[in-house]
Amino acid sequence: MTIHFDRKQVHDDLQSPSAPAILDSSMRRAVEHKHDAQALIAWDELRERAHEIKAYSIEHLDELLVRFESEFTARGGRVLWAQTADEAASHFLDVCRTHGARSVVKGKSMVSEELELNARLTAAGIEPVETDLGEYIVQLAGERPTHIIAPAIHMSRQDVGSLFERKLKVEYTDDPEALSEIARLRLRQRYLDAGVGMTGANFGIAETGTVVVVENEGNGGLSSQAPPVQIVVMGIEKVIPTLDDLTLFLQLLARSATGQKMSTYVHHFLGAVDRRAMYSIFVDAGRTALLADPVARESLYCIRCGACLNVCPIYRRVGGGAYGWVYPGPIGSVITPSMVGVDDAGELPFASTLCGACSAECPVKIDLPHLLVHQRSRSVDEGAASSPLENAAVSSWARAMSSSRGYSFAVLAARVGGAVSSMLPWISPTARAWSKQRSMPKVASMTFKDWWRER
Amino acid sequence: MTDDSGRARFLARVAAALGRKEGEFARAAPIPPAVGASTPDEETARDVSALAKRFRDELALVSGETVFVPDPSGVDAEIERIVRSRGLGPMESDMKKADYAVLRAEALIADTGTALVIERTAERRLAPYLPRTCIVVADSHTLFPTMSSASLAALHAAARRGEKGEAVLITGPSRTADIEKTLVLGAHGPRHLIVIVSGIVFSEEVVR
Amino acid sequence: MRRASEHALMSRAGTASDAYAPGDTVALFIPCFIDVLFPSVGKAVVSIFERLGVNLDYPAEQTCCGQPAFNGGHRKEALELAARFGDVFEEYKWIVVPSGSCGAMAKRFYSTLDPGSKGATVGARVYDLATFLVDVLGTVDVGARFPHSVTMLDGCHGRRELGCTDAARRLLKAVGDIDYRELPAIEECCGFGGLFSVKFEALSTSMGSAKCANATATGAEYLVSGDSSCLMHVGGMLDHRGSNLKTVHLAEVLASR
Repeated sequence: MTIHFDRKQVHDDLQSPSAPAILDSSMRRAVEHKHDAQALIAWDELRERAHEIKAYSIEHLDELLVRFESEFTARGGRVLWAQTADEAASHFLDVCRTHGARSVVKGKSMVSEELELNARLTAAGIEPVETDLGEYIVQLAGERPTHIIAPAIHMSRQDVGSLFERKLKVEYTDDPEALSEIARLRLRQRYLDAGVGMTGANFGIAETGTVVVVENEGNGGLSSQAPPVQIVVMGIEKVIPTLDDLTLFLQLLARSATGQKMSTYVHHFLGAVDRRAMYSIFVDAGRTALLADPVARESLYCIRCGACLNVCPIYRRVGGGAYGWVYPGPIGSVITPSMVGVDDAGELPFASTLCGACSAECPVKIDLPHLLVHQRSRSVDEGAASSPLENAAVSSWARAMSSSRGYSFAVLAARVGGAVSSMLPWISPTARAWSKQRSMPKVASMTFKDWWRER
Repeated sequence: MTDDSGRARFLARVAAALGRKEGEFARAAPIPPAVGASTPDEETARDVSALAKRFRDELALVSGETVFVPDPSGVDAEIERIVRSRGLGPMESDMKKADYAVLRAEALIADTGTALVIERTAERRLAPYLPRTCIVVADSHTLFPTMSSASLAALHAAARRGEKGEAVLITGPSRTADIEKTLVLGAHGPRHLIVIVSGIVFSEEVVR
Repeated sequence: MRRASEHALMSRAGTASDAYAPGDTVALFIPCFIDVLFPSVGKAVVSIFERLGVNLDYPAEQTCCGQPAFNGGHRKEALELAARFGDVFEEYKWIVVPSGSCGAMAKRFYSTLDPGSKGATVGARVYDLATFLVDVLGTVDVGARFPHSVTMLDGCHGRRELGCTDAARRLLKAVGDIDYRELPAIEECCGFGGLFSVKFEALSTSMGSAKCANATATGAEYLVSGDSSCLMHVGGMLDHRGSNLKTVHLAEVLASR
């Protein structure tokens, strides 16, 4: 699987009348709301503390995982360990088979996208049922979610109305309230019939083996509690030390994600009550690759709030589809090269101006531009993104810049090259790309150096 | 489904990524004290009336409703009034059939309009989610200004004691904005959330 | 790990251990592309300092700060150029550059690239023009006159890494007869991003387009910025569309009489 930052999709998205407008205006609103909410508390201080707690958690991850397991088990739960996506899916299927489940109701889980769980379940004759409204819509449409928090954000109400009309055989409506009601009614019985319910987790508390799931719709609560078996699929980086640490993150999470002060539901699953079973599947699937990289390790602090997506001028324009894998936006561009491989991630970390809007918003202060540059240098070192031609060009350019004489020669070459480019713009793809919509700057007849020398 | 070798391999990989041998955990550095932990001073000065108003206003922002009754003995009557005026069906213990559920809050958090509810039994586990109307009952002495170790004490105690079940922080009725970011109430969980706070009287409030 | 907001705060407070003393020499760091494409910006900087009576020097062996290599992931080449920068500017206590992005490269990213190196130590002494004038020299009114309406575009590195936006705005507002208009969505990136501007041309020009629209909507005659790279991109688009909106560097406005 090689990911190319999908230029065709980018092109289409920039032409499409509705999609970028939805993305852009809703992102803006989210950011505005959030800044209002943040003004009321010592936001930056909280971010700083959150960063420190995450740093501690990641540095002590081995210890915290073992502690979580011990506490979770003491409360009647069972922990399963999945080094690969495949192992995780296998564990999941094993649990389903053990308990004779024929359908699984699912709360929102980005991790399950990594596992391609739905496909595995379907192949095993078990029906996956997405219950988060956005995921439900996207599942119905046969697409992939394009945003961490709002999976169907790329679809207009008319898109959803047509989809429901087609797939659910209901009368067309594009009123969001009516559409939600249709989904609610459809899903009601599914919760009660399912043999297994699964969610991801926002946090795992090592101190008490508590699983924390944050949501607004109530489908997370229903998916977890209605069926007799509950499975939580959790990336290892979700574990934090104590309940007091969680308090701080609760304040951050809601404010970052949507600007509300608090999400509607913060579930703390303490342990399975009688005759119910609870499982926690810890997933590695490339996270230890990030962990082993002392620079990229910081990306594991991510709490999957979506704030970086909301503010990224590139994500706003193209949405999640262009990023090629599960995680879009700035965080996606950072973690994907380590999780799927620098080769496969291709030019993903290069599709950014490094403007820094993302890290300014990040509630745990991940230095995303720094990590993007780091992934770029890994890409160059492993010969992935830059061609031998580009490497040679950079190398000779650097040589030229390392002496006054080389510099003067480069200026001369630019004069000649500039003259040629302006007469024959198709001769250089760089010049051509530049001049599509911009006039070309010209090499000055007298450079600053020339002028200074003569004054 | 024995998983011992899988577990060992898994943890060894995590430890190796951190530059350690498995089992050789990092020296237990003290966990940094959380900002969330409140100091005693914060909790002593509590103007219950102000907290109650703040709670009502914050909950209203997320489309939840608050009712104040002067005395806990009036709570049942208030519930009856709500049920009657909204044409809700009789009280059911089977949550699948119930029009409404009554939950007890261990704490109310004023600056977000949040209620802390703990359900410990299999029968009650769907009470906060299935019925369309959710009524939460609490006394004014459980009002706290903000999320802190004091306001979340019941949750923390339950978890630390090894209790099972679910503790949930509820802030308003269920909601979604998954279609064009348009807010819709009553997604999968309740459409209506009403919090009855007893033991408080407002001079300017009409008391039922 | 660097925290950009912290650094921004620090830089506003002034990180130099001594204050500027009259008579101190200021070394000019004129970015390579300004040297070659927009030398008038460099001349304007000289003119401002001469008017303020500041001793200037220009170490002519300077070449490029290495940012294109660094941003492109070519660490080896970036390290070489950072080392060279350290050598060229070693003897200077004050280094001023009319560019937020090159300034950030030297002041912030040299220490990421090679902590504790000479390049990092020397780079830390770099100031962008606006911050130097306002925070180090303590001057907001540089005696300029520019009787036109202007709006300001804010380079992202300058804004987030160096925190120079406020200084630039104050300097502009203090210019004689100027009509300053705030740019809507000023914090949004213009879309230049170095090689991004050609590698991801459609995105780059889409972002630039939004910037053009916002700038035009202010009705200003001039679009001003402390970063010629952003101006080259947005200005290039404005020119291509036959817009009347002209671009000018902050230094050129401050040098005007």
